Amino acid sequence: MLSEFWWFPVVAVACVGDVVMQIAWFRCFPRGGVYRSMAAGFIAGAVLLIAASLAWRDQPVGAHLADFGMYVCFAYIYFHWNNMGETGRRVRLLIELANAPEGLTRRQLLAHYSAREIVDRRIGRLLESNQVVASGSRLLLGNPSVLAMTRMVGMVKRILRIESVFVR
Amino acid sequence: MSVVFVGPILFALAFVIHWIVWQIRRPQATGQALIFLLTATVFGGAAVLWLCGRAEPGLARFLPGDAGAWAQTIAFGLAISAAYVLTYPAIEVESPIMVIIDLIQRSGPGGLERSELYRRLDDDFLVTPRINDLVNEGLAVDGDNGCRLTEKGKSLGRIFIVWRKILGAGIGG
Repeated sequence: MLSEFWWFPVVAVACVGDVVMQIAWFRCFPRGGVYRSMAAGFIAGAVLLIAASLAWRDQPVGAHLADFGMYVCFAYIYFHWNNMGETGRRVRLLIELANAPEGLTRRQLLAHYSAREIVDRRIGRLLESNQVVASGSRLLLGNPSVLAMTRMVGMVKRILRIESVFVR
Repeated sequence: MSVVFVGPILFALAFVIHWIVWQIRRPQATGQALIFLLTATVFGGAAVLWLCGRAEPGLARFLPGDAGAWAQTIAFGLAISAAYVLTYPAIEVESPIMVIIDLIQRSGPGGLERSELYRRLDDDFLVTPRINDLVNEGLAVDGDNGCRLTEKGKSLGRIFIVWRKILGAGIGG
């Protein structure tokens, strides 16, 4: 009966490997940034998944593909978890309020975390990854991959009929 | 091969139901509603398929064969659902990076002045709605003395603070 659940430890080992490698990489190479550490974690977890799957190679191919699918979903979720901590506005507001148990007025909250900081951080990231290039004080599009993602999100917004600033 | 197909089919069914509900009325606390809806549909859909397999042996050969395979199928459906739930905030809420990219793209080959971005993406657009989200999701209250976290908000805030410490990362945003 327990052998029917062989897939669980295979996926679990891969997921744990992803997290451990990501934390270790970021701690050892913080200047590389969170995203590079997540790539290292993903590769480490994938290697562990393949290695652990070899012990169960008599199982159907479809089951191994499902394991890989689950691992990719986990890696994606873990990416979003870290991305929320890195860029999430609500997370930042939560942390600001958590550090001020007596509470903050809206004005005080905006003094701690304002639109200006949000825009500056994002422009910084876009310039660093060449998604945007600067020409004097003007910003121009560079690498179009984020634009492609923007279009995809716009399409899903249309399907779900969610209002958007940028749905045409 | 049934596991690799039935899991995504369960998620697809959950997405259709999510789309139908959103057409009728989008819930206030969308995150919690989405988690409940997708989880219930994946489990419910699996239960319906299992019963159909028992009733119709011809169908059973396309479905998972044992308890472990069913558990793997449900886990796969839930994993895809969880990935969608994490993506949903970027769909519902205007991601600042995507708005910036869209504005620069619409400005044409000459590009856009940084000052124009500051003018268009102000506190009312970027920050105030997110403060309102925290209040609507029951994570904070906004009273006469200002905004304060609820117990739920404090727990979630602590999780992120501890996680950032484990990573050795500074404050984000």
